Amino acid sequence: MSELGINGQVVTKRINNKTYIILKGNPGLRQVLRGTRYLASNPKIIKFAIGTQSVNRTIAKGGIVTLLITIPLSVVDIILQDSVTVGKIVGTISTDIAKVLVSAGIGSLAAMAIGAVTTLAAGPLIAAIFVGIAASVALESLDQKYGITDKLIKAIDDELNSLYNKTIGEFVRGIRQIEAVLEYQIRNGLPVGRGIFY
Amino acid sequence: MNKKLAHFILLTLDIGAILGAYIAYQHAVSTLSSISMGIEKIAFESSTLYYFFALIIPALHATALTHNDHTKNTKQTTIINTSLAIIVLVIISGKHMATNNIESALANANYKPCEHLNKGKFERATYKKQC
Repeated sequence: MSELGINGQVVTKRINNKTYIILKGNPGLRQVLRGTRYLASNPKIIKFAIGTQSVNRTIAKGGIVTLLITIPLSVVDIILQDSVTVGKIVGTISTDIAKVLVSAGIGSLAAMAIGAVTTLAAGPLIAAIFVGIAASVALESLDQKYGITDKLIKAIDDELNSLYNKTIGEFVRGIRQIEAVLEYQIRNGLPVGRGIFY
Repeated sequence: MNKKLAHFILLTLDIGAILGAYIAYQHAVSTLSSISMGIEKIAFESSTLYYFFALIIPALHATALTHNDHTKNTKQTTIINTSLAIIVLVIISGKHMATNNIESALANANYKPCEHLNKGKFERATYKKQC
């Protein structure tokens, strides 16, 4: 904004399969972007988040940073609670990732749409930031209202319990049964292990 | 992106933004009326007011529609862009002012946030006169 001003305008053009960002206005008045056209992948353009491609890269970086902050915080929050289950950790992290991805996607979509209809340089970035915030709040609100995270946690816990019963639980029950038979055989003076080992 | 598709996406986002702003407005109004009626338990979710931020999309869309491609960098463009900047500032400050006003109204009516009744990662404060 400080470089291009409130009225800063950019046009995205595709020439020979390369996307160029053409900056409107007097280049002499700019401090850093002193050229008139740059490749969309130019580091200066990416640094200033000009054009849809740069905004999308910024959104992707922001999403990764958000996940790097959110996931450890969620894990610590769960660990500090009274009851910690695998379902709670996996379910919470999964929905957190989904929320970040969906809100970043909506922000990116808004930025692309704004970038396609206006030449305003700051337009895509403003759209991505504000729509992203509104979308993430809306997703959190929907999660709270419909209890999606809670349902997912319950489903994971139920599935893990059922899996435990079918595998380790079944094995433990088998061992206990053998133990009971051996104990009965020892107490009653019967040949130990007959019917089980031979 | 194709311009028609972009306008369609923006129209969908416009509807969503207006709906979101209406929800935020209703939440603010219902909270204020609950305070005036002296209801025992009030759930005020300040994060709901972030829906006002989505109003930037209709503003940007309107700016894009009013821009005349044949008259670039004219006085008209400057006025439109300055208006957009003012709208963005008004939306941001409006959201914060609304949140502060409601929270101070709750405090003036002796409502206190009850931490143990809170839900969610965002602020979802439940206010009561006695927790």
